[in-house]
Amino acid sequence: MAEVYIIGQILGASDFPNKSLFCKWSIHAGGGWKLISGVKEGQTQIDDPAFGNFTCWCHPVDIHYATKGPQGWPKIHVQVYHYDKYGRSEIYGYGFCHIPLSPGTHKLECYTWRPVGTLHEEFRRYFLGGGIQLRSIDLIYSSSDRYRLQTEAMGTVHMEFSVILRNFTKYGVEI
Amino acid sequence: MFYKNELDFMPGVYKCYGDVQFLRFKIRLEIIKSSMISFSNVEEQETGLDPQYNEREEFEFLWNQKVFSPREFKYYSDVRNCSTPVENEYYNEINKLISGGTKSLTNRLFTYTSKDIIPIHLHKNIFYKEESCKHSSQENTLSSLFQQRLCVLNEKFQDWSLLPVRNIIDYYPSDELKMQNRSLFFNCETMYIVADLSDKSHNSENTNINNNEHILVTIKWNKKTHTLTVVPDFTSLNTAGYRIDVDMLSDTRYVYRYWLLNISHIEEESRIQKMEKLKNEFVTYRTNANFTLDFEIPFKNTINVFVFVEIQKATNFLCDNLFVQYFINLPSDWTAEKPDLLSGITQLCRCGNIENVVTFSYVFELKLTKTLSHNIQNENDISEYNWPQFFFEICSLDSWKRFRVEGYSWLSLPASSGRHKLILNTWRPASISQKDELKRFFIGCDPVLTDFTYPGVSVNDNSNLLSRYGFETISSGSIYLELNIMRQIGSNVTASRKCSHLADRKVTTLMNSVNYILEAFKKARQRMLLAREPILLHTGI
Amino acid sequence: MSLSPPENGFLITVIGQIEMADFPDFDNIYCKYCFVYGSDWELISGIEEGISQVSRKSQDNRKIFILNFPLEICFKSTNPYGWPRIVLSIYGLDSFGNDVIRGYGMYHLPVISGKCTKIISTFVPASSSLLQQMTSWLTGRKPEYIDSRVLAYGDGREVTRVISQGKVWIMFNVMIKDMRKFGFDNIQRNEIPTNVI
Repeated sequence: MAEVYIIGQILGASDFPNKSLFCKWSIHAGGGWKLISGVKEGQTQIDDPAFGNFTCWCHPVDIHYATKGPQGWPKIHVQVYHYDKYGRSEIYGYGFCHIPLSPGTHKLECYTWRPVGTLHEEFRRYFLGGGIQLRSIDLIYSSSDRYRLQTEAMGTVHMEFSVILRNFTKYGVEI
Repeated sequence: MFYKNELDFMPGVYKCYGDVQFLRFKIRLEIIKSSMISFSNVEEQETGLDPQYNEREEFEFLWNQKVFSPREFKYYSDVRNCSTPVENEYYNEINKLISGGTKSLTNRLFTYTSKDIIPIHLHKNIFYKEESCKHSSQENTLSSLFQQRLCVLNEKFQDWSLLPVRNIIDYYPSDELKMQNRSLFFNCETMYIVADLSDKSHNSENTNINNNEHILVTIKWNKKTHTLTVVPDFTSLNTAGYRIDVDMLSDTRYVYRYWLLNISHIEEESRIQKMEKLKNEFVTYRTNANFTLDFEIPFKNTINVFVFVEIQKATNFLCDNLFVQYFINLPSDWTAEKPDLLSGITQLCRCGNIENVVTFSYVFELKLTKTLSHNIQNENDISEYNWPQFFFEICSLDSWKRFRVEGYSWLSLPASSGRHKLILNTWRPASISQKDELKRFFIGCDPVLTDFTYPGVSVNDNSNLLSRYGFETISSGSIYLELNIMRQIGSNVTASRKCSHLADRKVTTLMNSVNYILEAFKKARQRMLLAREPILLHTGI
Repeated sequence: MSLSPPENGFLITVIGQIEMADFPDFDNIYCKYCFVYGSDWELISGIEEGISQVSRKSQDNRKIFILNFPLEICFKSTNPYGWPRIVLSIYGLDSFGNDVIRGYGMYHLPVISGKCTKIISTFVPASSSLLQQMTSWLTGRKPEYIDSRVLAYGDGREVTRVISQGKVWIMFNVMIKDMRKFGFDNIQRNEIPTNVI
């Protein structure tokens, strides 16, 4: 049984239309993966930067998986929300990223997109906030239906992960 | 004046397994009389035993052992001065000593334990010299806050294991919480070893005790973390010892040196040894038990290549509302576990607040298997080395439902494993006539490639020449991709072999070629024997 | 009472310093750090907590605070889960003379051996309403975390509002012993440069 340790943090975000953001993150792995310790999902704090354009979350991630094979390698899924001054939150972006395979420290940039509705819905969103959201994120995993989605590009989520592997070379895996 | 053999006045921080009650240390104090102090010491070799010492005192201390100074001896022997239980205890001890006949255990060395109230004159200002800076008028500066904090040894206990899970913020913190958050060393017991350096030769009582008590050693014990802090650190007799600064003393004819030696020994060794043994056993169990053959292992002559692809974003395309179609072309000896994933379409995306950037954030993974043939004769066949190719087609579909092709690109699967960040530049076929340009603009009808493998090496092309002469293209934007590749080689799976997989591969090819040679030799020998048979038969052998 | 080097785990030794900080709005700061680690980890030697000196802003164009505060710590463990993190709390005096919080930061110790300098962004909890903001500015009691070590874990931060301001530079020198012996692979692979095709 090989083991993977993912240690790192979700640093923050940049290039979004507004700076007051928070993020719900979750790590998904295939069926042959077993979570031994750590939490695989969470929600960051709501940050409003005083200077600059970088929203800082500094949210630690520490996970230990055991696996039967490299298939279903963990992916991180982020949902960025905007928290406005009235206390409402609206979705600002969905993003996906693979956790890197090779051991060592890696900087990741996850580009996000937001689903876009009809003209009527966009008009409503402009004035009242709260645009359309995905009903379930499983839609994104099944690649056959994704082409029907109309989206808009949003900002980037910056993450830094360090990966430690164990026992992979015993099974002939070259990394 | 800095002397080259002087010890650095460094604190020592130790993490201890045993309890502090096993701590024993010895202090040696030497007072050396010297007529010329400043210059002669530079040339002398400063070693521990100075034959010209005037006075030497040594004493072995235990943790929190109370040794009385002459001043304290006099003070606590008077029953009117003793009111608290601690003071009464001292009074009883002193009485015992007096009745036992001894006046005091030591001459100059004494201690202040954690139960004592430290005299104010010992709270030296550690940042500045006493005369140069007066802080009494500046109440609100940070350094005075620090003085307060350092002088008052707070015995507040903070439970380290309980962290608040809800309500982690206090919106209006009290002074106590603020103090607690900004301080260190909770639950710390401190012991001071002090030397009385007054002039003993004169029998008159020196009433000015403020200048003659010097803290030699400060020992702090943190019960919770089992950390012992010794300021200055332990030393040995082979060094020059620590020197007491003579500026404060009236009599500068003397040089004051001291050494701090650690002579504690652990009595409960067996318990600690047992703990270590258990830990070792646990660790070996953990390292060995994890290796079960529960991992998927490929067959002997196959290579599994796991590819994790992310189509991240596309930039510098002229049109909006883009999507990417991808196809993967596998050579004949490659198979994919899930053939559905060999082609796919991302979602449609338009530019957001950053110009010309379109994000897809599309991830998928593939498990490709290559069957190796160890037939040496196929070494020169180029098809043995064909690797999978990725083809990308970027198209746009706008609100008027005009479909256009924005670019084509191709990529050969990288041969090395690891993380690959790639930027693919694309091109699209140029229109031949003006009519085609107008068609493309108004109704979105583009010339489209019929063979999607054309951007790479086409599968239909078996000739030796790759020529695209006459084909005109317009350069277009770029796609950002990230590929994570991991390879698993079937013949490299071993449990106990420690040499690297590269060496294994060389060994197997070497063995294969040696086997081949042996077989060829056997065949040649048989042929030779067959050829020689008629000759041998003739001669009757 | 002193320890001999342990053999039943891998060792991580980190020697470094908190070099400098950049807080545009403030004039003086001091920094407190502490290390937080998982239950499989054990502190072998070194100082777990510390408070730096009080530093005043430099008067040149850079306008930074130089701390040069040393860090030295050695851990032993059998399991990389719970990798040690450093939690920083930065305080300073405001114009009324009150000691207020200026920033919190958290970072994992580097997982690979070698030298690296990290820039940590810091943040403070935000007041819940405008009135409270005025009150805390006047009385000098800005919202603080009850225990700053809660930042080392992700729990509990869900609906907390923070304002990020300031950066701290920390330099780490990491030495790792015996991780390979226990089967862990943490050797950084050479980064394949971005290919433009």
